[in-house]
Amino acid sequence: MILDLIGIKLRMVRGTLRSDEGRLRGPFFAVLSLMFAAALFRSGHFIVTQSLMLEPVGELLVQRLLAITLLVFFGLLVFSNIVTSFSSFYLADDLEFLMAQPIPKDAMFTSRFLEAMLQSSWVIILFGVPLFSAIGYGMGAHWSFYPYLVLVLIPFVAIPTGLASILALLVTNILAANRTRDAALFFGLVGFATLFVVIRSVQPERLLNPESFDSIGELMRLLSVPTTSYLPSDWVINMLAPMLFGTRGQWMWSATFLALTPLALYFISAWLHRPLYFRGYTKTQEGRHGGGLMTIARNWAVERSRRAGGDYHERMAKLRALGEQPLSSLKALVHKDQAVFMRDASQWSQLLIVVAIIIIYLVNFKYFEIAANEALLGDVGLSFFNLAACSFVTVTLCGRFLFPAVSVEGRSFWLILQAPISLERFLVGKWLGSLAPIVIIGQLLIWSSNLLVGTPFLTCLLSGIQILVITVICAAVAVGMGALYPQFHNPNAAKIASSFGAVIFMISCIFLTLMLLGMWFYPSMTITQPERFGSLSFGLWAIAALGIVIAAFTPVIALKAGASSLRARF
Amino acid sequence: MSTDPVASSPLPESSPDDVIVRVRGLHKKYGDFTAVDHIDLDVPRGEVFGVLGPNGAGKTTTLRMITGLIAPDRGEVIIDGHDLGRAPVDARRVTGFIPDRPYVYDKLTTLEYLRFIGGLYKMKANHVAARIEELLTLFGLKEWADSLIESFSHGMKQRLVFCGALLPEPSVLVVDEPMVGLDPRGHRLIKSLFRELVADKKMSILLSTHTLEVAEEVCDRIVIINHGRIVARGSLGELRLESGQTDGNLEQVFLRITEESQAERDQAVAERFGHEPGERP
Repeated sequence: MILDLIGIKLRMVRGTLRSDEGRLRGPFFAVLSLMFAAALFRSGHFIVTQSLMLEPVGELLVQRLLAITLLVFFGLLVFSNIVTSFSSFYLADDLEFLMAQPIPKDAMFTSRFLEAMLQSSWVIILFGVPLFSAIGYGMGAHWSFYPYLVLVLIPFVAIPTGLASILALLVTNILAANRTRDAALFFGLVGFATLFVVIRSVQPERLLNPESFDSIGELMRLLSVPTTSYLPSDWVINMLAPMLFGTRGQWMWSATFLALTPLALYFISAWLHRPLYFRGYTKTQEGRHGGGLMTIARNWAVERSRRAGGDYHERMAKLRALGEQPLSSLKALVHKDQAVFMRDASQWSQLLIVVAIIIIYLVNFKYFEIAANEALLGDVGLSFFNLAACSFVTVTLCGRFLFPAVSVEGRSFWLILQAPISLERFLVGKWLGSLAPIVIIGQLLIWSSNLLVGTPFLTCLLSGIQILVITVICAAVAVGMGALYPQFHNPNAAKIASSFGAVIFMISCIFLTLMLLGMWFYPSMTITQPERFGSLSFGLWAIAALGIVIAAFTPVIALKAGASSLRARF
Repeated sequence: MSTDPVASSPLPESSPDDVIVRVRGLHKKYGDFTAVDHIDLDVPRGEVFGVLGPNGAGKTTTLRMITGLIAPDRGEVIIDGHDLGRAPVDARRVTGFIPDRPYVYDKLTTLEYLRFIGGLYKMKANHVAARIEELLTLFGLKEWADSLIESFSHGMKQRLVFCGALLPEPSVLVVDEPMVGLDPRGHRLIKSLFRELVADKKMSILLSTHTLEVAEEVCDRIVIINHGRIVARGSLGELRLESGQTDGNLEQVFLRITEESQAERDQAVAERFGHEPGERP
């Protein structure tokens, strides 16, 4: 039964890969993922070899970086599992059908548990395995380290799933039905905030610049202190330590905990699910129509935006007052998108995350500047780092808000296909309509971070222009690729933003922005600091010019490709 | 009735000026499955033209290709002189479409939705206002002009989709299953509306329906599609003669024309899936 329930999902994936579009996109995704994994492996390996050169603390430094990376992954897994558990145990569309079938409770629980675990953990496979392998390779680990690493990571990813399934069960049973979604959001944000505080207390940026420590003793003290006791990420380190660093300190203890904790959590969760799951499920179904905080806030916003243009008679009078003037199709598309976005409560929780990203970005940048100034990157490197980090935030925002823009048309897309407008114009409407908020956030980030560290005005200006161009390009690529990988059947914008297509967008856009920033780096430095960089060779100017050409054509190509893909699809 | 279950009904000659929708060799496959098999169709101007057929016959696919929602593999569609393949925007400007399920933007109000449609068709503002007023009154939605569509019942959404499709006054209205979700009052409204649109506005209507009583009452001409091909076409009188049911109603005519033995059915289904009868796809 469990295999049947999981198998049906796998067969759906296989069906997608066998479909006309899947046949092309599957291999494309695989190649892009491999490239990304290779890039991660290369960067990880570089950091490890650089750290090992720092005698006598090199090995401890690697250990520490590994600990921080694992801690970040653990935090991400907790966050992702909480969201996934609520969704796959209580809110998934197929539950209504499955609950009506004669499926044993334990089978249902186990299949959902495995599904949540797989769904939340693929990020570890894509990002984690290359990074951890790079550390193994850098440390010259035996070949058996790699299969052993996979064995260690399996219980590591199962622990957050166990915790999240119990948390979701308790929340759905204890809280009033209509508070469930609020609670999911609350616990997610608390998890995220805790992780942020823990990582900040470790001050990872100081490790990049060992000279910022007053004495070697202080550095050794920081390096040898365990990050946090009793955390699964520490158990993983203790398990990997014999293979990487030749130390066996707490291997036995950690192995026991790492093996038993997920099993215990699974059995406790399964045992609790027997009497409590149905009650929780029923309450969440009631909650779909309830008046949680989000619903109250949404109703308020809807009412405000609905009344903004006056009542029926006032709106009609305004329309009549326009006389013979033809209405604009582009304006109609933009106004429609704005109204739909404003009134969709599922988008709001994401806005909170945007605010969190901005705060984290600015706070981290300030710390980074203090720790890494001159010694590691220098002001030039820091400026590039800032541009790259800001571009990364822009890419993330585009991935979250613009990539799903075509998909959220959903089943209403027939209206666009049947209307007398070209799909190119439709995509341009999506692009221009959502550009303003992303541009404002991008400019806010780059100007405030630059001003925060006292960057000269000319550098601020050039950085601002570069981020503006990058934002405009990323927005177009997001809309275009969203049209290449549409999910019209998926009503949840947040899920669309974490789909395979969205990951492909993220990876390609990060490559693209880094390439463009690289192409423009030396010319912009020559303009801002001519005394240091002197005059540039013709070749470097030509590369910068090529960057401008690429920047000019990318939006056109992205939107055209998106429109042709949509045309071919129907 | 027929020994050849997928026999096509030949298209009678007609002058291009009398035809608003001209379809030639329309063909669509999904993988190995042939959904629509080289259909030829002429929809005369100023008539209600019905497309009937059993479930899975290819009616909706045909209508969706005519409205540009699905691209055909082969064949051409010319609407009021505009080739849908070469000038899709011009062809769509004169076409209105009402799908079987009224999926619209739930987060918009009725007025916002209709104004949005007016924008897509680049209509003049004062004309949009006048049409909105007229259509909301006609379909009994004026009281809900400021309400969000998400609060509407299925039938109300269907009425709203009618309003949206009629707003730009298209030359041809393509309707897929118009009666789904409508109450008896709605049925009556739609039936009389179709006749009025044809008589007063000189509109042409192409509709697919399972409600044979509607087809019998409003359609001037009918085609019957089975297994992706047109198996009969003509006025109700002509279909009666063709089927041998001279005194029968449309239901009897329809059942007679689409009647087939199990062997004939197997043969037709196998052909559509591109394999031999009895062979598993």
